[in-house]
Amino acid sequence: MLRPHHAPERGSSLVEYGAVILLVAGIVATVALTNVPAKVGGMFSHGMDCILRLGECERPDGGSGPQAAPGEDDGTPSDRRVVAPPDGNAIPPENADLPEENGRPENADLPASTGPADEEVVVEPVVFGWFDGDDPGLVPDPETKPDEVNDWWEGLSEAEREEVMREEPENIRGLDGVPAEVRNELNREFLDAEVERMLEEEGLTPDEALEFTLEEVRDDPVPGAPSLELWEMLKLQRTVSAEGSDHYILTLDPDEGRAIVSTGNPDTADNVATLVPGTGIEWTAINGQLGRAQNLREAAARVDEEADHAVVSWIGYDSPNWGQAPFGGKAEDGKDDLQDFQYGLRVTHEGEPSNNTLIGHSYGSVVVGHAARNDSGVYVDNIILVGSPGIGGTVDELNFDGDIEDVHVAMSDEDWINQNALKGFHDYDELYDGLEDSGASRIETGPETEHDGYFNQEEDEESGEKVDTTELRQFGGIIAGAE
Amino acid sequence: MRRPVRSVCAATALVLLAGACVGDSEETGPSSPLDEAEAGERVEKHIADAVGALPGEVELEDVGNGLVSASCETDPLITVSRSYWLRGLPEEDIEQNVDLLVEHWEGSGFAVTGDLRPDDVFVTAENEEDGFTMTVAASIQGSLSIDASSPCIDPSGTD
Repeated sequence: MLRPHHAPERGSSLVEYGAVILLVAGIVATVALTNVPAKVGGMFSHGMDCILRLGECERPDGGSGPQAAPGEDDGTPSDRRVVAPPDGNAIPPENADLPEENGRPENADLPASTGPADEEVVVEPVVFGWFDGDDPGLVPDPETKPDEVNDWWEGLSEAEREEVMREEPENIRGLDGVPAEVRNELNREFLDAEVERMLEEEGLTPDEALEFTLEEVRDDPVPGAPSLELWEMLKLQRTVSAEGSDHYILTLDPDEGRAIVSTGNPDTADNVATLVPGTGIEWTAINGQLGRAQNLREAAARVDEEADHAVVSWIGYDSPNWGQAPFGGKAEDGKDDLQDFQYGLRVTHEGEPSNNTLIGHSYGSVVVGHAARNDSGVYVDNIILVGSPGIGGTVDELNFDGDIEDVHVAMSDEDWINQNALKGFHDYDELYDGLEDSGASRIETGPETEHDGYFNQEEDEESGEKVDTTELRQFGGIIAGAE
Repeated sequence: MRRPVRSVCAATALVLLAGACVGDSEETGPSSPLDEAEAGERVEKHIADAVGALPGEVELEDVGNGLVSASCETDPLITVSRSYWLRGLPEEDIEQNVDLLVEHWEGSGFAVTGDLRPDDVFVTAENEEDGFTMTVAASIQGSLSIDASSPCIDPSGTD
């Protein structure tokens, strides 16, 4: 009996096998980068907690929905200020910059919540813990909220403050709620000590180290060049020490990748803006970011020359690399720190409340979006989204001290974000579709402004097209409270 | 593996890789061969030339704290800029003085690239030869300021 004859399989080609391997590698990398296994595990354990508590639970992503009971660990970064109402609708924070008699702002984002027994539940601030368990330190736990930190600081005598600054500088120089002058003093001491240490280690003098260009230090290292960390610290040291400089170093932590420096005193300025940078910006980029901040500050001054302005360069989160940029993980990780930083600005500000503006550029706008779409919101009066690939939702969902007209969006037709095939990852369409009908403000952009041209001036070397600085003027007006 | 399935997998992998690569910002080199110091000198020269077109004695007062170097998208490129208040000019002459500056620019190789008047007293112009940009602006208090900025340059220059 004849058996059916099948043409023999030729087997896959090398190209086809290679393509499959790349596809699998891409999937595995995506899963790993977005931390899917941990998130699934967290969601499962959170779900079990909700079932056992038989009550409202807060979603791990901070969105509306079932809510965690106060003090319960739902596996997400805790935000002890907030209790979302059971119907899931976020309540915009009251104007938190109205200090009470004792100088402490209202906990405006502690609305009453209704628990399962219809009893009113008000979340009280949790007493801060101590370092090292049984061994009490002098300072609050780093997770302590800014208003409690400020209460603690204001309650110290002069001698106690000096003791804390002497004994535990590393534990307060980056702590939101501690006044800017104190943080600045301690961070400058740290900067000077680090520079001295590294110069000795690397066997260089400051002038010798700064003779090298950034390319020789970083991109194409030459023998004898200093480390990038030393080079950038030296530049920062020179900038903040220059005659007439009024920089305030609020955080400097190379190990954690953090550098937050204000141009102008944020505790006394009439107008305070925070600039959140985007993809690929590490703490070593602080010097370049300070230049952008200075441009913004001068733009504000050119609108209102009588007011004091401060602009903060905030490298306070782990910015994504290009492979991570399509995903919201880094924004989700950074939103609490950004919220706390803005809250801290309110808490430490002296006198009348300042007009505060939050500016997110590129992926920085994604971080702003995640922070402001959280139930606790963000304590600013204006939000500027620059070259944004989306904010994970619509502008209506932004929770802050201003109104929808105080949301300003800058997106040029020439910005490459518009042509990016991956823009949908951050809900680009949700941001831009219907933007004009929403009431949000659209920044007038130059005809050829490119993605990084909003803060500087650039010329496209290939096309010869010019860009202008109308964006910077408008940013300045918003920062100055004149728009 | 069946041939159609292999082909689909291969095509999918290539599409994903292409998508992942799309959106990388284009890297551009410096737009001027000047180094940081030379760019600063050019900024001052453009400002001095423009102020020379204004009537009377104009005193320059720094808006900030001198020359500012700000990062461009492509490291290590920077722009170098400086802003000055134009002191000594009557507030009632703001419009006339802005017109004088625009006239000077247009006669000196600059092209006006932005003008927010009448909503806002703010005009920007760019030098068609060296790519430097200049702006004139009025504060809400009625003071005029001027600034000049280089295009993106390499701090070390390219000569």
